Amino acid sequence: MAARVITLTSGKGGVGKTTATANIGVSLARMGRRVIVLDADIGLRNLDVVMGLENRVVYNLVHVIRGTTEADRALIRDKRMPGLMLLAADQHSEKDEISEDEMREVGEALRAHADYVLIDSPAGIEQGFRNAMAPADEVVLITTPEVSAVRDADRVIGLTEAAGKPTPRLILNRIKPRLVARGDMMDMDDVVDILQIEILGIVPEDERIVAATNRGEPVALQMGSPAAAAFDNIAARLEDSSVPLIALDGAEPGLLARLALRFRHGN
Amino acid sequence: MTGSHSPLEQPTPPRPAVSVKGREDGLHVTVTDAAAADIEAELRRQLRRRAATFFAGAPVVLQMPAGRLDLALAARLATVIEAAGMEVTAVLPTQPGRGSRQRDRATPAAAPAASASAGGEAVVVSGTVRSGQRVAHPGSIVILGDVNPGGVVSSGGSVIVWGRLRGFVEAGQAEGAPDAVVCALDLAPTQLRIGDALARAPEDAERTPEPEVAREANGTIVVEAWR
Repeated sequence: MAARVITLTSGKGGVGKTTATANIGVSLARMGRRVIVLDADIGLRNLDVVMGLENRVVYNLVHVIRGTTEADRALIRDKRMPGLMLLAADQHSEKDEISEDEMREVGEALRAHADYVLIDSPAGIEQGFRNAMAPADEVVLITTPEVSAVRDADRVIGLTEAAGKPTPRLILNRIKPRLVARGDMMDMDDVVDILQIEILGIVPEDERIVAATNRGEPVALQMGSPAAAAFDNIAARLEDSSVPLIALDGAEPGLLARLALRFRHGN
Repeated sequence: MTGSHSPLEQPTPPRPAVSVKGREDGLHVTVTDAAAADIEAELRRQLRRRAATFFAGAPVVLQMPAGRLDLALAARLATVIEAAGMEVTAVLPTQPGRGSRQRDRATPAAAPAASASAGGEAVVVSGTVRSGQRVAHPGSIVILGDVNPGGVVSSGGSVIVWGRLRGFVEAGQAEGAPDAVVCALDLAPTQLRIGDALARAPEDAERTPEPEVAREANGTIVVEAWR
């Protein structure tokens, strides 16, 4: 079976795209799927660092595009998690040195090697973003509950649809249930009201993410963290959209459950 | 052998889910039961029965039940209407539960459609106008969806938003469209321009969304309830 190619994007930077890509990859692999995570942020390098695979990178995306090596040989297999593979970005090239067609070819070449190809898009809406979107069958949009991030997300939905891709599904990242309950954080209703797209998952703010990311160890590798549970839930919902959104541990009782219920009813 | 069906075998529903009426300003298609399963077939049947060719090219006012507009349904019905050679120039709310006389009096909401024809053909946009997107048309624009912050709508005539208007709108930009209006189920634009008059949303965020219509009068923008 050929892989589903899913691009994770956000418009705004710093909302947690790379961390989410790594963690959803881990969660899918734990479910027994073969997953390639692809860092499309050429010129910068993040995903290999976040995943702790930095010193194993020999070949990268640009090598595959230039035909220096086969796709299969450029894939770094994560020893902690069988089935999880990384194709790293090239720090020494520029985003506009490769084209959308070349990215489509890479996407096609990778399909045979996995069940999922998760593409970590660079921030912004320029060439790098267009490259990351080109091979996508599906798009997942990540935002934090901040006005500026939501505004950019709205822009990206428009661009995604204009590119002929299906409407993205949404991950709300870094929710702080206590702030929301106090009314100090952008209301979830505001986010959903503006974007009007299906919610794929809600990830609570979790200090363990920061610690784990700095150790190069996706938090989804640890059990028992609320964020890890959220990424597992997102992976399950990618497999089967009828899986309900979970109410998260550590959330104000009732709040996220209530949200989950609302979203499940498609409101 | 026309009598092979008895009248009992083809019961006429007392109130069809959709009705079609000819008026002086064009055809009015009124949806009375948006939940009916066969609503498109019913509309097709009614348009056929009314010798639709007679109305070819006629402007059509599509009246949907007030409240939350079923965008998908409106778009499907617009497709049926267009397939019959007609064009939807306006989508308006009906007022359920009111008498027909009052409903007729409520149609001044159709005024935008009337002034629309002054600025040329109207265009119907289905879906949300998102941040960074721009909809521009020399005539009037009907939007079946929201206009989000950062979205831009630019019209020679009127702008009718069946949804929340939170972006930037300019209306009445064509010559000879002095009576252009901007209306929305929730009128809260970041900025609003009608002709040369410019207004922005009041700072007090606490407001109850209600359908409102904005028009230009003596160089300033006046907003009143849309009913």
